[in-house]
Amino acid sequence: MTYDMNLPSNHSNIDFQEGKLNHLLDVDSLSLNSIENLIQSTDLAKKNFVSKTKIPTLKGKTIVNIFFENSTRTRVSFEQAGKLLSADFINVNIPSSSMTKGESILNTIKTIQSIGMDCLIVRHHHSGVPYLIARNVNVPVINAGDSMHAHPTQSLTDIYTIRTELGEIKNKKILIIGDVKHSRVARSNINLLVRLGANITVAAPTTLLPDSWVVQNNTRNLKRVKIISHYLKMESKLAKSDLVMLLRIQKERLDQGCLPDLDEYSKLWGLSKSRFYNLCPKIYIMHPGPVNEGVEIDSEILSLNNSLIDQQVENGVPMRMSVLEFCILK
Amino acid sequence: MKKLVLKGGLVCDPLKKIQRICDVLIIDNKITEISKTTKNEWSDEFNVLDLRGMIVLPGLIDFHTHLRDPGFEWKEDLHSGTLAAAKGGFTTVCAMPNTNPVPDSAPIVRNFIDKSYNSNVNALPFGSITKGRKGKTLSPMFQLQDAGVVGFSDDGDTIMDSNIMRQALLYSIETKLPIINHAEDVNIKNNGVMNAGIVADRLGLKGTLSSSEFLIIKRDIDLAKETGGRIHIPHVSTEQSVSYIFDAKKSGVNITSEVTPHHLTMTENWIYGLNGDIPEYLTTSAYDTNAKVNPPLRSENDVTAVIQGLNEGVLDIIATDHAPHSLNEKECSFDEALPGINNIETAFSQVYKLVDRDLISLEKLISSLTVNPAAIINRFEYGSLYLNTPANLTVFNPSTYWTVNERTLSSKSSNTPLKGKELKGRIVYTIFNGKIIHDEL
Repeated sequence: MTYDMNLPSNHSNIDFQEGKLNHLLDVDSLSLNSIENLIQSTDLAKKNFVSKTKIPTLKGKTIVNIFFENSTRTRVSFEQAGKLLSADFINVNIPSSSMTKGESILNTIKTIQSIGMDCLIVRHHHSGVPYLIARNVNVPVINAGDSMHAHPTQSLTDIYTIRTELGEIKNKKILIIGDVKHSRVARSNINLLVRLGANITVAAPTTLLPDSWVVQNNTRNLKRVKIISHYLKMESKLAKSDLVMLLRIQKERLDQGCLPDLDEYSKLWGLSKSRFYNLCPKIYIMHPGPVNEGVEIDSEILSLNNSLIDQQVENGVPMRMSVLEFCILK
Repeated sequence: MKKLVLKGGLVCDPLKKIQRICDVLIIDNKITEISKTTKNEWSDEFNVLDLRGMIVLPGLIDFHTHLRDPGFEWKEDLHSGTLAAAKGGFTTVCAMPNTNPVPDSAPIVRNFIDKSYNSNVNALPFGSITKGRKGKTLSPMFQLQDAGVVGFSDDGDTIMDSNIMRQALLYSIETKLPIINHAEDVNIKNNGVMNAGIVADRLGLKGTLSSSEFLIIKRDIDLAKETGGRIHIPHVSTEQSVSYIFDAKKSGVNITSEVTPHHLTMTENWIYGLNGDIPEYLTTSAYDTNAKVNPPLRSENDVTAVIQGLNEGVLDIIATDHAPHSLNEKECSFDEALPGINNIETAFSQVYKLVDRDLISLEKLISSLTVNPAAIINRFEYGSLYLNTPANLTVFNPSTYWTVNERTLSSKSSNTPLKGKELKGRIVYTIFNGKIIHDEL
C-alpha cells in the first residue's frame, strides 16, 4: 500500500528560511544544493573533529543552547561543535517542570537576547516553538528537536552517515520501523530521504501511523512512501532492504492505548537475533537513540559492525559544526 | 430628537419576505414606515442617510458569544463585547456561560441581566446545564429560566455522562429552552490541538479526529429522539456531523444547529499562517495560534459540507463563537495556546464572501443571522423589521474594502487570524433601539 505524503517537491532556490536570517527550523526549507554543501563542509569539519583541533571560524560569537526538554547527546553535540569552532557557548536548561503553564517562552528568550547572542539553539517539548521564537528574535534559530515535529540536525547527520557508509542515497532501500506517528526524527528523515531519491518503506502497527495515512481524507499528488502494518510483511521487507532505521518506543504510548505492552512490540516489531541472522545478516542498522535495548533491537546486534549507531553520534558533531557555520556566517 | 430616514438601500427582511430598494423611516426610535423610495426632499427635521448600494437588514443576532463577563474581564467584558458586537452589526448577543462564577443559580443570572441594561446591545444570558459546568449535577433549570436565561449550555466542556445529558433533555421538554451540547469526545480527542489529518501530521501536532465531534452529536441526537427533548448543536465542523443532523431532522427530532463564520470560510491550512495557502516549506509564520479554535478548523471537504448544510437548511444559524483571548494566552506554543477566534467584528464580512461567490443566497445568509436565531430564542421582534417596535437595524456596504487592524478593534483582545487582512464588505451603521450606535461613514 502506498500513501501520498504532504511533502514539498524538490525546490531549487531556497537556502534555509526566508529573510536575512539563516534559521534552520526543519529540513523542508533546504534545497538539495544546500544539503550537498552541508555534506561537503561536514567532510572538512570531520577532520577537525577527529584531530580535536579548534579552528577560529566562530571566534567572538556567542551561541546559546536553550533546552526546555532534557537531552544529553544533542546538547553535548552542539556544545562540542560550537567549541571546536571557537565560539563561546552558554547552556540554559529549563526543564518542563519548572515552566508553569502561562509562563512566557518569549519573556525567557527576550531576557537571553538582551544579554547578547549570535545564534540560538532550541529544543522544546511542544511542536512549533522554534518557529514562535524565530518570529521574535533577530538571530538565527536552530531547531534541536521540537516534540513530534522535526529534528533537522539529527536528520542531516543521518543522511551524512548513510552517504559515508553506504554511498549514494538514490535508490537505496530503507526500511523505517516504529512509532512514525510521534517521531520527529522520522518526520525529518522521511522528508529528506524521499527528496534524495531513496526507496522508503515504513513499517509500524496502524496505531502508530500518522492519522492522515490511516484515515485518508486528503490527497495531494506528492512523493510516495510505502506503508507496511503487518509484522510478517515487515519481515519479508527486512530481507530485501539495505538499511533499517529503528525508532524509539516511548513508554507513554502504552498509556495512550496504542500498544498493549512493550513485550508485544518487541516480539512483533523488534529486530531480534533470529530475525537478524535469518533474514538480514548484511543489513545496516540505525537508531536515533537512546535505544530501549531488547525492545527495538536485541543488545547483541548493537555491537556488530552492521550497527551505525556510534557513527550517528560521532557524525553529529561535524554536521552541527557545518550547520552553525552556515547559520551564523552565511 | 431628529427623525431618521434610511434612504435608497436594499432592504432585506427574510421573515417579512422583503428584498427590495426601500426607504425606512424611524421616528421616536421606532420604525414607522418601510416604503418604496419616492420622496427626494426631506425637511430639516429628518436625518437622511443615503444608503444607495447598501444593504439594510434587521439587527443581527449572535446566538453564541463569549463576553467573558464575569471572571475573565482581561479578555473582554460586557461593555467591550457589546461594543464589538455593535461594530459587527449585531444588536443581540447571547452570552455563553463559561464565566466565573458560572451562571448556575438565579442570583448570578439576575446579576448579569442587571448589568446588561447598560450594555451597548441586547445581551441575553445562557445558564449552565450542570452546576459549575462540571457535568455531574443539573443546574436548577426552571429557576434559571424564570431569572431570564434563553437556553442552557456547558460550552467548552462535554457532558460525557450520557445519563446527565438525558436528564437535561427531559427538563427541556417543559422549559422548552434549547439544551446546547458541546460535542467533543474527550477520550478520542486525547489532547488534540488541531484537526487530525495531513496538516497536523506535517506540523507534528496532535490531531482531533472528526469522530470526537460526530460521536457525541450522534449520541445526543439519539437521546433527544428518545426523550423528545430540545437539542441544539453548536459550531458544527465536520461533514459527518452535517449528515447526522440531516437524518435527525428528517426523523422529526426537535433539533437546531449552528455553524461559525470560520468553519464556513477557513480550513486547517490557516494554521500555516499564510491565508490558507499550503506552503512548500514551513515558514516562521507557521503554527498560527490565532487559528487554533475548538472545534478545530477542518478540511476542505468539511468546509464544503457545512456550506451545503447551511444551504439546505440542515444548519439553521450562523453564530460567531466569538472567543476573545489576551495576547499572552496566544503568544505561546501551539499546544499551550487557548482555543478561540475573536470574530464578532469581522463575522458578517467573512460570511458575505459566500454570497459574493454565489455559494449561498443573500436571503439565506440573513435568515441565518436574524429570523432563525430569533426563532430559537423565541423573540421574533429581535429578528425582523417590525413596525412600531424599537428599531434594530444594520447597514452593510457590500462593495467597500477594509483592513482588519488590531488597534481599531473594539474588543479588548485581537486574537484573529484575519489580523492585517483585507476584507470585502463592511458594516457601516448599526442602529439599536432607534439610535445609531455604530457609524463607519
